[in-house]
Amino acid sequence: MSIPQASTTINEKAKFLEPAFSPFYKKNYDKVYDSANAADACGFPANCLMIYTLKEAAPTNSNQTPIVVSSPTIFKIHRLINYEMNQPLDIVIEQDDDGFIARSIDMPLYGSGDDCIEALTTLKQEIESLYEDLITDDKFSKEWLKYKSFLMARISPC
Amino acid sequence: MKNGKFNTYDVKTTCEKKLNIVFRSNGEFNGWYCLDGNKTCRITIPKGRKNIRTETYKSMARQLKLSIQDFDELLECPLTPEKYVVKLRERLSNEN
Repeated sequence: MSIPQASTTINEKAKFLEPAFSPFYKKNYDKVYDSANAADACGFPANCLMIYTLKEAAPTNSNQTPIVVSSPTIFKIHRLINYEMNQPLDIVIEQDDDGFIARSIDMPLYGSGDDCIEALTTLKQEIESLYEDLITDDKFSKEWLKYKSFLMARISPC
Repeated sequence: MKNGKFNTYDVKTTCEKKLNIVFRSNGEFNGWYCLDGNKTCRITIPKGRKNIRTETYKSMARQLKLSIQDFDELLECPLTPEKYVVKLRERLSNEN
């Protein structure tokens, strides 16, 4: 399948995205997308996350990137803001009253925002902030020392 | 759940006064609760005096390892710092 060009309509781009189901996630959630791959595939900058559901057509008459999340949706994030990642992190984005919340599946972290991108960006900041907290010393409970190992295996210092 | 009754400033103030959490300001306010000299719970509170959305409220409760009801009580006052330590120890022993 060829990579869509910048002039490709939003709906054509949406069709290009393939849901990447895993048995565990499929049991709990409707849709799983690899966001970074999707953004890369569609020629968007790495920090631009497109969030589509294939069942809900993205608006074609808008110049803005459509953000559509109708149910808890799992994404893999491959990049943070200031750090590269060796392995992706699973996150869930879902509606939170009049806004959105992005939560890490593996750690008790969340980011909230008025839209998906803001929630995701806040979560990325949270992950970085936690990583920076954890590398300062080892005065943490066992649970947080596990998260430290988990993050150190996934984050590459710049 | 009493998220409509409190805003983010209320949560931050309660955590500071009752749990002695010191917050740092990055993107959001982050603070650690220390138990037995170890950083044990890390809470994130959105900046400003915002209303707290439902899932955000639940997430903050989870970060402190409290049920929603206990988190309500922490904010409303019946849950004292001493009771919090008891609940936290129970929760940690259940997790181990």
